[in-house]
Amino acid sequence: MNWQQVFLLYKKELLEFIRDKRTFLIMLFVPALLYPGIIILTTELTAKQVTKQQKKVYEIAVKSGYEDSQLYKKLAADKYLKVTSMETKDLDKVSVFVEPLENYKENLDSFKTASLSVYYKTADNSSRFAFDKVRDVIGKLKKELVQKRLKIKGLDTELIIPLKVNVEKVDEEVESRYLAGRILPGIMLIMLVVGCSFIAQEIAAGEKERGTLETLLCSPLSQLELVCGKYLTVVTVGFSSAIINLGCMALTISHMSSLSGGDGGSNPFANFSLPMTAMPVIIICLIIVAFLVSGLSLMAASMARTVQEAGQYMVPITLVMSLPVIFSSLPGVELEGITRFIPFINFCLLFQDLLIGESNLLDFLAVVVSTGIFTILVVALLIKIYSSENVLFNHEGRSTLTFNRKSLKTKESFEANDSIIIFSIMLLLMFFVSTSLQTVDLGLSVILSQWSIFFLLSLGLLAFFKVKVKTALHLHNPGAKNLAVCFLLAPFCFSGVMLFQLFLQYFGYHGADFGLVDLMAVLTTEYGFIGTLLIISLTPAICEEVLFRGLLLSGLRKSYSEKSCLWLQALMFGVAHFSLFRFAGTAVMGAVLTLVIFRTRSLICTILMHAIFNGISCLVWAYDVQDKLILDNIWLIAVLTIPGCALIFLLKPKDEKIA
Amino acid sequence: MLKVSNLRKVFIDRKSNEIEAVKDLNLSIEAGQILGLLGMNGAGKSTALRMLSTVIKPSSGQAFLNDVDMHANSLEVRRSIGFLSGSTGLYKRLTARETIVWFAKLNGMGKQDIKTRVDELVVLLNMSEFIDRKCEKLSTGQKQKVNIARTIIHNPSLLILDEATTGLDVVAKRSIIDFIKHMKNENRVILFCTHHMDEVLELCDSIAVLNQGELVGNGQIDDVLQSQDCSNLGELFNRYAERIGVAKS
Repeated sequence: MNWQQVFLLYKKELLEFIRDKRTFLIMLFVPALLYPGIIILTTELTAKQVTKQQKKVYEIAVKSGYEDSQLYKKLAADKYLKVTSMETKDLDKVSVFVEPLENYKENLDSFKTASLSVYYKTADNSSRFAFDKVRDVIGKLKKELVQKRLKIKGLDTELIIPLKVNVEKVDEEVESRYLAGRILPGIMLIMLVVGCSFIAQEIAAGEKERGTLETLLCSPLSQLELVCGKYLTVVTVGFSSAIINLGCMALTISHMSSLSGGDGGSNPFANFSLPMTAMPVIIICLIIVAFLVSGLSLMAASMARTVQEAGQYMVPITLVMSLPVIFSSLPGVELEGITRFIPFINFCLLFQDLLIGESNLLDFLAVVVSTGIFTILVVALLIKIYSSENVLFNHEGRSTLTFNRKSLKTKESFEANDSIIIFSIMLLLMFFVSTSLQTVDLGLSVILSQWSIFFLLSLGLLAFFKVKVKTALHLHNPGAKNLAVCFLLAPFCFSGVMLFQLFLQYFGYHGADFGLVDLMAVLTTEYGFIGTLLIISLTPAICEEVLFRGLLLSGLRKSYSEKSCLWLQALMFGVAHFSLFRFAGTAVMGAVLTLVIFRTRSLICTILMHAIFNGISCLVWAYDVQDKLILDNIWLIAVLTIPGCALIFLLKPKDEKIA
Repeated sequence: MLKVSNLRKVFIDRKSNEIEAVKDLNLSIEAGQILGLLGMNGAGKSTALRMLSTVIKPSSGQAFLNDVDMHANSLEVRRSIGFLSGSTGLYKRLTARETIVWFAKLNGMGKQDIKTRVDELVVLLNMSEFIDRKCEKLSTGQKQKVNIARTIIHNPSLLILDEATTGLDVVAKRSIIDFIKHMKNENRVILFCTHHMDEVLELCDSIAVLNQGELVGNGQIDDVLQSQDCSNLGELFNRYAERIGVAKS
């Protein structure tokens, strides 16, 4: 690679960006001006409003007949309360209504507990502020009455105060940093995405739209140099945007802190300052994350034909990016185990730890290495995109899904893009139908959603779009030998997946039995063991195989290599189980079943394996014998599983060719 | 010299059919000659030119520029190619000079060479008035002049011009045509694609006619017309249009 060429492209892209004054200002400086504006203005306005509300005189009422009571007099004595008498509660006329209950006066006089009710509206600001005032007055009255009673009885006030607690915050600075840690990384990530997407749209989709890409492609720039030049530009702009935002937010919060005079009060960021020692580490992490976000943004923008289309692609990316931000701010989520290796989540958590001074080198390295690995994968995909004529010149090969059935010709399978669209639709349907049905009947929801969505809808789509069922679903005779091998292979694959999940437990990923024991218990109670076996084992084996290893895989195979199909199938199958904890196991299973169909070219083999696999799961979870069967014999199982899984190499296609 | 041998390109269309955009294209152009690549819309001209500019790879076949395999040595060969199409845009926020200089640097030219060459092109293409103006502020004709300058800044031996005069007014068109003639006199191989038959007659030494991806005529204009039994190029194209119409109906 010629770095001089990369630098030339990089310099040109940056120059163009800087000269686009409108985008430059909107992206880099508007947020910088907005933070102080928004935060200071809203804080000051809120404070002003609160003071105004507190100084306002509120009209309240006490039930008629208590005008001479001490309660009434005390309330009337408060300069912010205007007290009237009212027969029955009417909160449209007054902000608060106070109603002494039965025997109020008698109970007070006889040293008993007198009760009263206070009515107010939570959704009405005036009512809430008036209630606060009333509560203060009643609190003071209560205290006076206690002292009076104790005095009459000749007792000391200290009698009712056995403990006096002095609470002092010893880490006020850390507290404000802890709060800032919940907000800052998320905002920075989002700003990073916004910054990267702006420039990525311009230099990827914009280049296509303006017709300048072709000139670059026939210049002496290699694909790698082209990608690197553009990629580094996106990284630079995205990182600059994030760092300007970080700086502005930190300065604004510090300014607020200085305004509060460091006395705390209602300002949660009083005493806040960025820990300067952590700043270099924060910046290194930010650069690494900027590389990943830039890769993702450039990848999405490169797929688009116009800047407008690229903007549409960025919306889901921004939404998806907000998920790790939300997850990392959930209570109890810390940088440990598997969270160390999930991009963006690990960044947010490390950022939080760095702010409160609780980070360590291992966490830092885990974040750097895992984000780095994901970045390399994204860049590899990016280079692949820039090598694809279909993507660069928008040649055909896009979705063939059209509802004009007459224009369609009979074909062997869907296109890869069709498969991805169908998968997305099925996923949505599955989520909503299955979720709605689950509230009615768990077993029914599995049966109906699997047969109606995965099976019947798949067949319906194949028929409507004139796709040959036999070839698309790989309905070939597998031969007795392949069936026998699959029969033997399935238990070993099951144990292999179990061992994999147990291995992941060392990283804090507890996916082995999440929810399955409870699910089995409910199903066996309702349908008996055989019924459950049919629901859990046979139904998904047929329906999921028809969709995943049939319709979707045959489409994917048209554009992707076998290796890429394995990854995609693993991802799709994992995602389709709608559980973060079951993802790893189901993804591995998806990959194994894909491998089986590549070797046998018959869906019947994968249906058989899937059914046996699910059947064994049924047995293990129904009787909850995971500990006895697997954990107690883990080494024996491990020794048997490895050669057992090697049985897969005995699988060979009988004679037909895959579509 | 450009020699094209059995060049073929296949795309997959929306209905999963294989579309042979270019079928076994064979051409040969000597230095100092202009070959007019002609054909109806969708005949495969742009695909052929994209293959010859190494922007896309052929499905099969080979092309040699001065005996160098163009697709096996695409990075090296690109320094000898200048490619310009009617739809090519410019970087709107760079000035005309910055654009030309940038492409010169990309082609590995030295500072002094760039300065000399830019000055030469500014005079040749009459660009002194707008050379330091941003591209977004240029007229269509001025833009096309900048495009031509950036196409030939590195002195390419092969010039590929795809509808280079489309959308230009009479004056701008004349200036571009004169410039192409100048390029021819500088002994370059020029592949010229257009829908304007008057330009073909004025510029081209020979023509190659593509119809539905297939080379249906190649040689001197008169020879091609004679072989197709047509009196002029307009008649030739009407005949192809009718054939396509019949095939579609």
